[in-house]
Order: sequence, then C-alpha cells, then structure tokens
Amino acid sequence: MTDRELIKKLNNLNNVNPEANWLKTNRELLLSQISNAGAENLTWWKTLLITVSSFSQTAAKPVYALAAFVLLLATGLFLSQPSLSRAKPNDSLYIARVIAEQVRLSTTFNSDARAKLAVQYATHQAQDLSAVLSDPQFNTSANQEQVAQLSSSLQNEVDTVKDAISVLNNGNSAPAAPARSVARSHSSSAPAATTSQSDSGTSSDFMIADSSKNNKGIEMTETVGVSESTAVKTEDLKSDKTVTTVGSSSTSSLGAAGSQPEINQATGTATTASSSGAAASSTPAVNSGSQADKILNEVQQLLNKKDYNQAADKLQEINKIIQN
Amino acid sequence: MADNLIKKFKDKQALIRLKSSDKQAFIKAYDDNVKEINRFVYFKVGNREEANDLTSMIFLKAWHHIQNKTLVEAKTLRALLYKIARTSIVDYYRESGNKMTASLDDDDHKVEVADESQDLSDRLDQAADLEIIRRRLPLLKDEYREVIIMRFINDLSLEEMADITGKTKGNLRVILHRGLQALRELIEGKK
Repeated sequence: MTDRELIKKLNNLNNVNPEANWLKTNRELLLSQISNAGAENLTWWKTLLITVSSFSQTAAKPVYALAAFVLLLATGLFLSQPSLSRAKPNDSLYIARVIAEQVRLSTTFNSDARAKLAVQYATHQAQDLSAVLSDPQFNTSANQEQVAQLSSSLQNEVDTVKDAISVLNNGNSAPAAPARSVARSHSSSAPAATTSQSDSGTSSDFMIADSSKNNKGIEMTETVGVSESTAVKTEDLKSDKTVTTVGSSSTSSLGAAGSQPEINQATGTATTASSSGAAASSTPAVNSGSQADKILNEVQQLLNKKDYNQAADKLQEINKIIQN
Repeated sequence: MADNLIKKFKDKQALIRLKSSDKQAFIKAYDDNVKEINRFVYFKVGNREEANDLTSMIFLKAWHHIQNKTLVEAKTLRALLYKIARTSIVDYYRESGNKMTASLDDDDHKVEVADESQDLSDRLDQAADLEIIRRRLPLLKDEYREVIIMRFINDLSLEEMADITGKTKGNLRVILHRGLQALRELIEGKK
C-alpha cells in the first residue's frame, strides 16, 4: 500500500459522524445550559457594531503592513541615494542605482524638473560608463565582451541624453513662442515674410525669409540662429529704414548678397523680429540646450574615436550647462 | 488572499459575538464544528459514548473560557476548540486512569458511516477501510495518531495544526511522515 492509497483511505473516515439524534438533543441541552449562564440574542445594532469592529481589526493589519512597506521603501531609497549614486556600471549596486533613479524620475511631477533630472541622470550614467571604459585595467582584451556591452550601453545613454535635451528644449521653447509671434507681427506688413521652424526639432533655430525685393532688386534672405545668438536686437525701427543687428557671438548666416541687412528701405517694412521680454527670458535656456546639443555631437565623435576620457569630460561639461 | 481575509474576518466576528454572550453565535459555532470535534475525540478515545460526552463538555468549556476571558491563546475558534479538546482528553485519561489500548469500539458497536449519498459499493469499500484502520489506529503512538486524525481525517492545514499543537510545521511534517509509515506497517503486518 502506498502513502497515497493510505491517505485516501484515511480521508474516507471524514464521513464518520455522530448520530443525528444525539446532535439534536445535545444542541438543545447546551443551549439551555448557556442560556442559564447569561446567553442572549444580540440586538441588530450591536451585531452591526461587532461586524464593523471585526472588519476594522481584520483590515488593519494588511493596511498597516502596506503602509510600513511603502514607508520603508521610500526611506530606503532616500537614504541609499548618496551611496547608490557612487555605484559604477561594473558594480553590483548599479542596477539598484538605475532603479532608484527611475523611481525618483517618476515621482518628480514638475515636467521641467523631470526633464532636467533625466538629462542629469543620463549624463551621469554616460559619464560613468566612459570612465569605466577609459580605465586601462578594465578595458583589456580579457573583458572584450563586457567592454562591448558597456560601449553599447554608453551609446544608448548618449541617445537618451539627446532625447532628454530635446524634451528640455521643447519645454523651454514653448515660452519663446510669443517672441516668434512678435516677429510675425512685425513682419506682417511684408507681403512675403515667412517664419519656419527647423525640421530637426532638436534646435530652436528658426528662419525668417524675406523674399521681397528691395528697390535695388536684391533679394534678401536672412537666417537667424536664435539658439546660438545671445541677443537679437532690432534697432532703429524707423519708417524709412530698418537695421537688424545681430549680437557679437552670433553665428547667424547671412545668405543675402548685402553685407548689411538693410531691408526694404523704400517701403520701410521690418522683416526681422525685435526682442521682447519673453524672448529675452527664454533665450538663455534654449541657448544652453543648444550648446549641450553641440557638445553632444562632439561626444559622439569622440566615442567613434573611442576617446572615452575626452567624452567623459565633455559629458561633465553638458551637466554643468544643464545645471546652470 | 481574499479568501483568507474573509475567513479571518468571519472568525474574528464569531469570537467577538461569543464574547458578547451571543446565543446565535454559539449555535452557529456548534453547528459548524461539532461533527469535526466529535470525530477527533472519537478517534482519540475510541469510544462513541465517551466521545459524545466529551464533545458536549468541550463546547461548554469553550463557552465558559470565552465568557470568563480565560481564552486559551488561539488564532481561530476552530483552533480554540481543538485545544480545549486536547486538554479535555488528557484530563479524561487522568481522571479515568485508563488509556485507549483496545480498538475503536468493540465488534458489537461498530462505527456508523453516516453518508447515505454514496452508493453501496463505495460504502462497502469504506466500511472495509474503516474496519482495518479502526483496528490498527489505536495501536499507533498517541503523537502520530493525533496528527494523522487532524491532517488526513479532519483535513486541517499545517498552519492550524501548528497553532493547536504548538509544534513547528517542519516538525509536524516529520511526525506525519513517520506516523503514516508506522500505520502502513501495522496494516500490512495484519494482512
């Protein structure tokens, strides 16, 4: 006989019951005994009170346990943040750091702060990966597989930084919109003035093209790289003459034949945006995002050359720009 | 998880109602547990009349314990009844000065299997199984017999058994394994 068969036979004994008559008489007997000892039928409200009380007692434990768990998790993440932030990509704690960062990101509700934090984390991770890869003790032929993995992770992180910066730029470019509308309002009198945004979406450069011809028959096309200029000012917005001055650090290209953007003297129509309060405030943020973009391109080139040390330095630079 | 919470809630409710001297709660507790407790006592003492008397006493004791706030530490009402049953059986042995050495009931008082929903062949098989086990079970060591009754006849979980007996689950598993082995040897030895 196997254990299973024996257990089955034992289970059959579950049907062994006392006689029904005894059950009934014993029930009556016990009821009379406990009635003498003070048993009574409870009122409905007392029964309700007991039900509520027992429910709260039963539910309290899981609720407390859940609250304690959440509190513990939050405290743990908060306290371990400094030590986790030092974890390097080849450390066992690195995964915990990534998780902690994700948690911090998802608990940041301000979109600007979140985008900034995303850039900061991605840059830090890329920086750490670069540091590990530039370590000659690690980057050996024996660790080729790991090196390849980390290189691929680094590339991913650089892409993440790019995305995060573009999110940051898009967030910052929203307040710049009034500046562009100002530009449009100024140029509204010009029949063919158009404002278009760059297709790349990562840069805030925009182009104001004035295809109107001056009375000398010269077609003027001016491209203003707003993101790279520190200030765009329009001076001498006079009825008979408009002079657009681009700041000294500007890298805007003047595709027109003329060296001075003297436009439409005859009609006196302004074609270039003037500065406004909104434009002035948003420009540095957009500018820093664009600078970061530029440095990122350099990082990409350095990575292609496998110059991880330089790449790490450049990433550090990006982080400083974003922080400022 | 949800079933477990509902079960806990019902247990808690029953205990609080019993503490408040609720007659209806006692009736419900009696109806829900009397057969199981009677079966446990019956397989422990081996005599129907004594099992019935002890069962009646166990329920009365449980009521007094709850009313006098002298509750034996137990997580559930079922566990409380089993704990009182165990101590009542020990008291019974101590007072009567005898211990069950014979088989469950004699040949003139065969155990009744009160399940008429089964067909005749099943009932005959069951009667044969019962006959073998009822003759062999009393020969088993008391420790083994108790856990086998609780686990395989009354279908208690290991957690409940641990609460009742005060043993760990691991310890109970070992005792169950040894108990089954010993019972099998006794049955096969007889055949």
